Amino acid sequence: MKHLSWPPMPRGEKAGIPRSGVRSLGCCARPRAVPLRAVCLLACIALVLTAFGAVAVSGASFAWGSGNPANTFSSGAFTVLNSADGGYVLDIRGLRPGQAESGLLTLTCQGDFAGTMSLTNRGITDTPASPALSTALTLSIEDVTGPAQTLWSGTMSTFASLTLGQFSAGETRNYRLTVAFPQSAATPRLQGATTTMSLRFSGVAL
Amino acid sequence: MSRKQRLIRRKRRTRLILGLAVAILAIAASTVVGSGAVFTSASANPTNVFTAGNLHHTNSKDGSAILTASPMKPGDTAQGTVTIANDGDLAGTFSLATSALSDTAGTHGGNLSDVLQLQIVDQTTSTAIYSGAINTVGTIAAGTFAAGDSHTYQFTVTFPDGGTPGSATTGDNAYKSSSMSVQFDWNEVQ
Repeated sequence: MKHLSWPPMPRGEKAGIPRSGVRSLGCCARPRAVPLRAVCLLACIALVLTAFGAVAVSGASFAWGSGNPANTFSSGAFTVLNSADGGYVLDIRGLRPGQAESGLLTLTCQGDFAGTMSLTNRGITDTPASPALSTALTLSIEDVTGPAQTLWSGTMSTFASLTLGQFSAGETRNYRLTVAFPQSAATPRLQGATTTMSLRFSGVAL
Repeated sequence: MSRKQRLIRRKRRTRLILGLAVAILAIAASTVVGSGAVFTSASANPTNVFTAGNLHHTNSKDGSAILTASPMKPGDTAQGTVTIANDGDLAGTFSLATSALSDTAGTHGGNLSDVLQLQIVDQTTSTAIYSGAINTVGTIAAGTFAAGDSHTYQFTVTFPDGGTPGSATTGDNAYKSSSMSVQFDWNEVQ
Protein backbone atom coordinates (compact mmCIF):
# COMPACT_ATOMS: atom_id res chain seq x y z
CA MET A 1 0.00 0.00 0.00
CA LYS A 2 1.23 3.41 -0.90
CA HIS A 3 1.68 5.67 2.09
CA LEU A 4 1.95 9.34 2.37
CA SER A 5 3.72 10.99 5.22
CA TRP A 6 1.54 13.43 7.08
CA PRO A 7 2.53 15.96 7.96
CA PRO A 8 5.04 16.04 5.12
CA MET A 9 8.57 15.62 6.26
CA PRO A 10 11.32 17.99 5.28
CA ARG A 11 13.17 16.98 2.21
CA GLY A 12 16.03 14.70 3.00
CA GLU A 13 14.51 13.48 6.22
CA LYS A 14 13.30 9.95 6.57
CA ALA A 15 10.77 8.67 8.96
CA GLY A 16 12.26 8.12 12.34
CA ILE A 17 15.57 9.73 11.37
CA PRO A 18 15.53 13.46 11.98
CA ARG A 19 17.75 15.56 9.79
CA SER A 20 19.93 16.24 12.81
CA GLY A 21 21.10 12.72 12.54
CA VAL A 22 19.93 11.81 16.02
CA ARG A 23 17.97 8.65 15.69
CA SER A 24 14.69 8.79 17.49
CA LEU A 25 14.06 6.31 20.19
CA GLY A 26 10.99 4.14 20.04
CA CYS A 27 8.10 4.06 17.67
CA CYS A 28 6.22 6.87 19.44
CA ALA A 29 8.76 9.46 18.41
CA ARG A 30 8.50 8.43 14.78
CA PRO A 31 6.11 10.43 12.55
CA ARG A 32 3.29 8.20 11.55
CA ALA A 33 2.66 7.61 7.91
CA VAL A 34 -1.01 8.23 7.09
CA PRO A 35 -2.52 6.17 4.30
CA LEU A 36 -3.31 8.15 1.13
CA ARG A 37 -6.85 6.73 1.18
CA ALA A 38 -7.45 8.22 4.65
CA VAL A 39 -6.14 11.60 3.56
CA CYS A 40 -8.47 11.60 0.56
CA LEU A 41 -11.39 10.63 2.80
CA LEU A 42 -10.67 13.48 5.20
CA ALA A 43 -10.37 15.90 2.31
CA CYS A 44 -13.73 14.80 0.91
CA ILE A 45 -15.41 15.18 4.32
CA ALA A 46 -13.88 18.64 4.68
CA LEU A 47 -15.18 19.66 1.26
CA VAL A 48 -18.66 18.39 2.05
CA LEU A 49 -18.70 20.23 5.39
CA THR A 50 -17.45 23.39 3.72
CA ALA A 51 -20.18 23.21 1.09
CA PHE A 52 -22.82 22.53 3.73
CA GLY A 53 -21.58 25.47 5.77
CA ALA A 54 -21.69 27.75 2.75
CA VAL A 55 -25.27 26.80 2.00
CA ALA A 56 -26.36 27.12 5.61
CA VAL A 57 -24.75 30.52 6.12
CA SER A 58 -25.73 32.11 2.82
CA GLY A 59 -29.46 31.43 3.39
CA ALA A 60 -29.93 31.98 -0.31
CA SER A 61 -33.45 31.90 -1.67
CA PHE A 62 -35.34 33.30 -4.58
CA ALA A 63 -36.61 36.84 -4.21
CA TRP A 64 -38.12 39.51 -6.43
CA GLY A 65 -39.10 43.11 -5.85
CA SER A 66 -40.82 46.03 -7.45
CA GLY A 67 -41.39 49.61 -6.37
CA ASN A 68 -43.78 52.50 -6.69
CA PRO A 69 -41.75 55.66 -6.05
CA ALA A 70 -42.69 59.29 -5.73
CA ASN A 71 -46.14 59.00 -4.24
CA THR A 72 -46.35 62.69 -3.53
CA PHE A 73 -48.87 64.61 -1.47
CA SER A 74 -48.98 68.35 -1.12
CA SER A 75 -51.21 70.56 0.89
CA GLY A 76 -52.43 73.74 -0.70
CA ALA A 77 -52.21 77.36 0.33
CA PHE A 78 -55.21 79.28 1.58
CA THR A 79 -55.14 82.80 2.92
CA VAL A 80 -57.81 85.39 3.57
CA LEU A 81 -56.14 88.60 2.57
CA ASN A 82 -57.62 91.69 4.25
CA SER A 83 -56.47 95.06 2.99
CA ALA A 84 -56.87 96.48 6.48
CA ASP A 85 -55.43 93.46 8.30
CA GLY A 86 -54.21 94.40 11.74
CA GLY A 87 -55.51 97.94 11.42
CA TYR A 88 -58.79 99.70 11.63
CA VAL A 89 -61.44 100.20 9.02
CA LEU A 90 -62.93 103.17 10.77
CA ASP A 91 -61.50 105.57 13.32
CA ILE A 92 -64.07 108.17 14.08
CA ARG A 93 -63.35 110.85 16.59
CA GLY A 94 -65.77 113.57 17.66
CA LEU A 95 -68.78 111.81 16.28
CA ARG A 96 -71.90 113.93 16.60
CA PRO A 97 -75.55 112.83 16.56
CA GLY A 98 -76.76 112.67 12.97
CA GLN A 99 -73.21 112.01 11.64
CA ALA A 100 -72.12 108.91 9.66
CA GLU A 101 -68.66 107.72 8.63
CA SER A 102 -67.65 104.93 6.24
CA GLY A 103 -64.56 102.86 5.65
CA LEU A 104 -63.58 100.48 2.85
CA LEU A 105 -61.68 97.25 2.82
CA THR A 106 -60.85 94.63 0.27
CA LEU A 107 -61.05 90.93 0.98
CA THR A 108 -59.22 88.42 -1.23
CA CYS A 109 -59.42 84.63 -1.22
CA GLN A 110 -55.77 83.91 -1.88
CA GLY A 111 -54.41 80.43 -2.55
CA ASP A 112 -55.35 77.17 -4.20
CA PHE A 113 -58.88 76.78 -2.96
CA ALA A 114 -62.26 78.41 -3.06
CA GLY A 115 -63.49 79.38 0.36
CA THR A 116 -66.47 80.45 2.39
CA MET A 117 -65.84 83.79 4.03
CA SER A 118 -67.40 85.22 7.11
CA LEU A 119 -67.20 88.27 9.32
CA THR A 120 -67.41 87.96 13.07
CA ASN A 121 -67.68 90.44 15.91
CA ARG A 122 -64.75 89.59 18.19
CA GLY A 123 -65.85 91.97 20.89
CA ILE A 124 -67.05 95.46 21.79
CA THR A 125 -65.60 97.60 24.48
CA ASP A 126 -67.67 100.55 25.67
CA THR A 127 -66.43 103.34 27.89
CA PRO A 128 -68.38 103.93 29.97
CA ALA A 129 -69.99 100.55 29.95
CA SER A 130 -73.31 102.18 30.63
CA PRO A 131 -74.81 103.83 28.83
CA ALA A 132 -72.92 102.10 26.05
CA LEU A 133 -72.25 104.02 22.90
CA SER A 134 -72.47 100.79 20.86
CA THR A 135 -76.15 100.58 21.78
CA ALA A 136 -76.75 103.93 20.16
CA LEU A 137 -74.64 103.63 17.02
CA THR A 138 -75.76 101.77 13.92
CA LEU A 139 -73.59 99.68 11.64
CA SER A 140 -74.17 98.76 8.04
CA ILE A 141 -72.06 96.40 6.00
CA GLU A 142 -72.28 96.58 2.22
CA ASP A 143 -70.70 94.64 -0.59
CA VAL A 144 -69.61 97.34 -3.01
CA THR A 145 -67.73 95.11 -5.44
CA GLY A 146 -70.44 95.91 -7.92
CA PRO A 147 -73.65 97.82 -7.24
CA ALA A 148 -73.84 98.38 -3.50
CA GLN A 149 -75.64 95.60 -1.71
CA THR A 150 -76.42 95.85 1.99
CA LEU A 151 -75.50 92.65 3.75
CA TRP A 152 -76.30 93.64 7.29
CA SER A 153 -77.68 96.70 9.05
CA GLY A 154 -78.61 97.34 12.66
CA THR A 155 -77.46 98.50 16.06
CA MET A 156 -73.73 97.95 16.42
CA SER A 157 -74.06 96.11 19.72
CA THR A 158 -76.30 93.47 18.16
CA PHE A 159 -73.92 92.44 15.40
CA ALA A 160 -72.63 88.94 15.92
CA SER A 161 -71.53 87.51 12.59
CA LEU A 162 -72.21 87.58 8.89
CA THR A 163 -71.66 85.05 6.15
CA LEU A 164 -70.08 86.72 3.17
CA GLY A 165 -70.60 83.80 0.84
CA GLN A 166 -68.37 81.66 -1.30
CA PHE A 167 -65.30 83.10 -2.95
CA SER A 168 -63.54 81.38 -5.79
CA ALA A 169 -59.77 81.03 -5.54
CA GLY A 170 -58.22 84.43 -6.08
CA GLU A 171 -61.52 86.33 -5.98
CA THR A 172 -61.58 89.83 -4.47
CA ARG A 173 -64.54 91.68 -3.03
CA ASN A 174 -64.87 95.19 -1.64
CA TYR A 175 -66.80 96.04 1.48
CA ARG A 176 -67.97 99.30 2.95
CA LEU A 177 -68.64 99.63 6.66
CA THR A 178 -70.68 102.59 7.77
CA VAL A 179 -71.19 103.72 11.36
CA ALA A 180 -73.88 106.28 12.11
CA PHE A 181 -74.98 108.11 15.25
CA PRO A 182 -78.72 108.47 14.83
CA GLN A 183 -80.15 111.67 16.14
CA SER A 184 -82.87 109.71 17.82
CA ALA A 185 -80.36 107.78 19.91
CA ALA A 186 -78.47 110.74 21.19
CA THR A 187 -78.54 111.49 24.87
CA PRO A 188 -76.38 113.86 26.91
CA ARG A 189 -75.03 110.94 28.89
CA LEU A 190 -73.22 109.65 25.75
CA GLN A 191 -71.08 112.72 25.46
CA GLY A 192 -67.44 111.69 25.57
CA ALA A 193 -68.30 108.00 25.34
CA THR A 194 -66.20 105.68 23.20
CA THR A 195 -66.68 102.26 21.69
CA THR A 196 -64.24 99.89 20.08
CA MET A 197 -65.35 96.97 17.96
CA SER A 198 -63.02 94.21 16.81
CA LEU A 199 -63.94 92.43 13.60
CA ARG A 200 -62.55 89.25 12.20
CA PHE A 201 -62.72 88.14 8.59
CA SER A 202 -62.15 84.44 8.21
CA GLY A 203 -62.39 81.80 5.54
CA VAL A 204 -62.68 78.05 5.30
CA ALA A 205 -61.24 76.35 2.26
CA LEU A 206 -63.68 74.36 0.14
CA MET B 1 9.82 -51.24 -39.79
CA SER B 2 8.52 -54.10 -37.87
CA ARG B 3 4.96 -54.71 -37.15
CA LYS B 4 5.51 -53.97 -33.49
CA GLN B 5 7.07 -50.65 -34.26
CA ARG B 6 4.15 -49.73 -36.50
CA LEU B 7 1.71 -50.59 -33.75
CA ILE B 8 3.60 -48.47 -31.30
CA ARG B 9 3.68 -45.55 -33.78
CA ARG B 10 -0.03 -45.94 -34.45
CA LYS B 11 -0.76 -45.91 -30.70
CA ARG B 12 1.33 -42.77 -30.28
CA ARG B 13 -0.46 -41.13 -33.20
CA THR B 14 -3.79 -42.10 -31.72
CA ARG B 15 -2.78 -40.75 -28.33
CA LEU B 16 -1.60 -37.54 -29.96
CA ILE B 17 -4.90 -37.12 -31.80
CA LEU B 18 -6.86 -37.88 -28.66
CA GLY B 19 -4.71 -35.44 -26.72
CA LEU B 20 -5.27 -32.74 -29.30
CA ALA B 21 -9.01 -33.42 -29.28
CA VAL B 22 -9.14 -33.23 -25.49
CA ALA B 23 -7.14 -30.02 -25.56
CA ILE B 24 -9.46 -28.44 -28.14
CA LEU B 25 -12.50 -29.49 -26.11
CA ALA B 26 -10.91 -28.16 -23.00
CA ILE B 27 -10.19 -24.84 -24.67
CA ALA B 28 -13.76 -24.63 -26.00
CA ALA B 29 -15.16 -25.48 -22.62
CA SER B 30 -13.02 -22.92 -20.94
CA THR B 31 -14.11 -20.32 -23.47
CA VAL B 32 -17.75 -20.96 -22.69
CA VAL B 33 -17.14 -21.00 -18.99
CA GLY B 34 -14.83 -18.00 -19.18
CA SER B 35 -17.39 -15.86 -21.03
CA GLY B 36 -19.60 -15.93 -17.93
CA ALA B 37 -22.59 -15.61 -20.21
CA VAL B 38 -25.94 -15.41 -18.35
CA PHE B 39 -29.36 -14.04 -19.16
CA THR B 40 -29.44 -10.27 -18.66
CA SER B 41 -31.96 -7.52 -19.01
CA ALA B 42 -31.55 -3.71 -18.80
CA SER B 43 -33.67 -0.56 -19.01
CA ALA B 44 -32.87 3.14 -18.75
CA ASN B 45 -34.54 6.39 -17.67
CA PRO B 46 -32.76 9.08 -19.57
CA THR B 47 -33.26 12.87 -19.57
CA ASN B 48 -34.18 13.41 -15.95
CA VAL B 49 -34.39 17.20 -16.21
CA PHE B 50 -34.38 19.59 -13.28
CA THR B 51 -35.26 23.24 -13.86
CA ALA B 52 -35.16 25.96 -11.22
CA GLY B 53 -38.45 27.78 -10.76
CA ASN B 54 -38.94 31.43 -11.60
CA LEU B 55 -40.02 33.67 -8.73
CA HIS B 56 -41.42 36.78 -10.33
CA HIS B 57 -44.27 39.23 -10.05
CA THR B 58 -45.61 42.11 -12.03
CA ASN B 59 -46.61 45.48 -10.65
CA SER B 60 -49.18 47.33 -12.72
CA LYS B 61 -47.51 50.64 -11.84
CA ASP B 62 -43.91 49.50 -11.42
CA GLY B 63 -41.57 52.47 -11.39
CA SER B 64 -44.32 55.03 -11.01
CA ALA B 65 -46.60 56.35 -8.29
CA ILE B 66 -49.76 54.62 -7.15
CA LEU B 67 -51.35 57.91 -6.18
CA THR B 68 -50.51 61.55 -5.84
CA ALA B 69 -52.58 64.43 -4.56
CA SER B 70 -52.12 68.17 -4.74
CA PRO B 71 -53.29 70.51 -3.41
CA MET B 72 -54.79 68.83 -0.38
CA LYS B 73 -56.68 70.47 2.43
CA PRO B 74 -58.07 69.08 5.69
CA GLY B 75 -60.80 66.57 4.98
CA ASP B 76 -59.45 65.61 1.55
CA THR B 77 -58.74 62.06 0.45
CA ALA B 78 -56.84 60.63 -2.48
CA GLN B 79 -57.11 57.11 -3.87
CA GLY B 80 -55.16 54.91 -6.22
CA THR B 81 -54.95 51.21 -7.03
CA VAL B 82 -52.19 48.84 -8.02
CA THR B 83 -52.33 45.20 -9.09
CA ILE B 84 -49.62 42.78 -8.01
CA ALA B 85 -49.62 39.52 -9.98
CA ASN B 86 -47.50 36.47 -9.28
CA ASP B 87 -46.58 35.56 -12.85
CA GLY B 88 -43.76 33.23 -11.85
CA ASP B 89 -44.13 29.49 -11.52
CA LEU B 90 -43.62 29.37 -7.76
CA ALA B 91 -45.81 30.45 -4.89
CA GLY B 92 -44.49 33.62 -3.30
CA THR B 93 -44.83 35.37 0.04
CA PHE B 94 -45.41 39.06 -0.48
CA SER B 95 -44.71 42.03 1.75
CA LEU B 96 -45.00 45.77 1.37
CA ALA B 97 -42.77 48.42 2.90
CA THR B 98 -42.14 52.10 2.51
CA SER B 99 -38.88 53.87 1.79
CA ALA B 100 -37.49 57.23 0.75
CA LEU B 101 -40.00 59.16 2.82
CA SER B 102 -39.28 62.86 2.59
CA ASP B 103 -41.01 65.99 3.85
CA THR B 104 -40.91 69.58 2.80
CA ALA B 105 -42.30 71.62 5.64
CA GLY B 106 -44.90 74.24 4.95
CA THR B 107 -44.80 77.93 5.68
CA HIS B 108 -45.74 77.31 9.28
CA GLY B 109 -43.36 74.39 9.83
CA GLY B 110 -45.67 71.39 9.74
CA ASN B 111 -44.57 68.11 8.14
CA LEU B 112 -47.40 66.63 6.13
CA SER B 113 -46.34 63.05 6.89
CA ASP B 114 -47.14 63.73 10.56
CA VAL B 115 -50.81 64.15 9.77
CA LEU B 116 -51.64 62.09 6.66
CA GLN B 117 -53.34 58.74 7.20
CA LEU B 118 -52.99 55.74 4.91
CA GLN B 119 -55.32 52.82 4.39
CA ILE B 120 -54.47 49.88 2.13
CA VAL B 121 -57.22 47.44 1.23
CA ASP B 122 -56.72 44.19 -0.66
CA GLN B 123 -59.76 44.48 -2.90
CA THR B 124 -59.37 40.86 -4.00
CA THR B 125 -60.03 39.63 -0.48
CA SER B 126 -61.76 42.77 0.85
CA THR B 127 -59.21 42.92 3.63
CA ALA B 128 -57.53 46.01 5.04
CA ILE B 129 -53.83 45.21 5.35
CA TYR B 130 -52.91 48.60 6.85
CA SER B 131 -54.64 51.53 8.44
CA GLY B 132 -52.64 54.19 10.21
CA ALA B 133 -50.20 57.03 9.85
CA ILE B 134 -48.37 57.21 6.55
CA ASN B 135 -45.03 57.63 8.30
CA THR B 136 -45.25 54.47 10.46
CA VAL B 137 -46.02 51.81 7.85
CA GLY B 138 -43.04 49.55 8.53
CA THR B 139 -43.33 46.20 6.77
CA ILE B 140 -46.76 44.78 5.97
CA ALA B 141 -47.35 41.09 5.28
CA ALA B 142 -49.50 40.87 2.16
CA GLY B 143 -49.85 37.08 2.20
CA THR B 144 -48.83 34.16 0.03
CA PHE B 145 -49.90 34.15 -3.59
CA ALA B 146 -50.02 30.95 -5.61
CA ALA B 147 -48.47 31.07 -9.05
CA GLY B 148 -50.88 32.94 -11.28
CA ASP B 149 -52.65 34.80 -8.47
CA SER B 150 -53.10 38.54 -8.59
CA HIS B 151 -54.32 41.00 -5.99
CA THR B 152 -55.50 44.57 -6.47
CA TYR B 153 -54.79 47.00 -3.65
CA GLN B 154 -56.54 50.28 -3.07
CA PHE B 155 -54.50 53.00 -1.38
CA THR B 156 -56.38 55.81 0.33
CA VAL B 157 -54.57 58.80 1.79
CA THR B 158 -56.56 61.11 4.04
CA PHE B 159 -55.78 64.54 5.41
CA PRO B 160 -57.92 64.49 8.58
CA ASP B 161 -59.89 67.60 9.40
CA GLY B 162 -58.56 68.73 12.75
CA GLY B 163 -61.23 71.34 13.27
CA THR B 164 -60.89 75.08 13.37
CA PRO B 165 -57.28 75.99 14.08
CA GLY B 166 -56.57 78.03 17.14
CA SER B 167 -54.56 80.52 15.14
CA ALA B 168 -53.23 81.22 11.69
CA THR B 169 -50.16 79.08 12.31
CA THR B 170 -51.35 76.25 14.53
CA GLY B 171 -53.62 73.23 14.11
CA ASP B 172 -54.17 72.26 10.50
CA ASN B 173 -52.82 75.67 9.44
CA ALA B 174 -49.36 74.39 10.38
CA TYR B 175 -49.47 72.08 7.35
CA LYS B 176 -50.32 74.71 4.74
CA SER B 177 -48.16 74.52 1.62
CA SER B 178 -46.26 71.45 2.81
CA SER B 179 -45.51 68.32 0.81
CA MET B 180 -44.25 64.81 1.29
CA SER B 181 -43.19 61.89 -0.87
CA VAL B 182 -42.92 58.18 -0.17
CA GLN B 183 -42.04 55.02 -2.08
CA PHE B 184 -43.90 51.72 -1.77
CA ASP B 185 -41.72 48.61 -2.14
CA TRP B 186 -43.20 45.20 -2.94
CA ASN B 187 -41.05 42.22 -2.02
CA GLU B 188 -41.62 38.59 -2.89
CA VAL B 189 -39.75 35.64 -1.45
CA GLN B 190 -40.28 31.93 -1.92
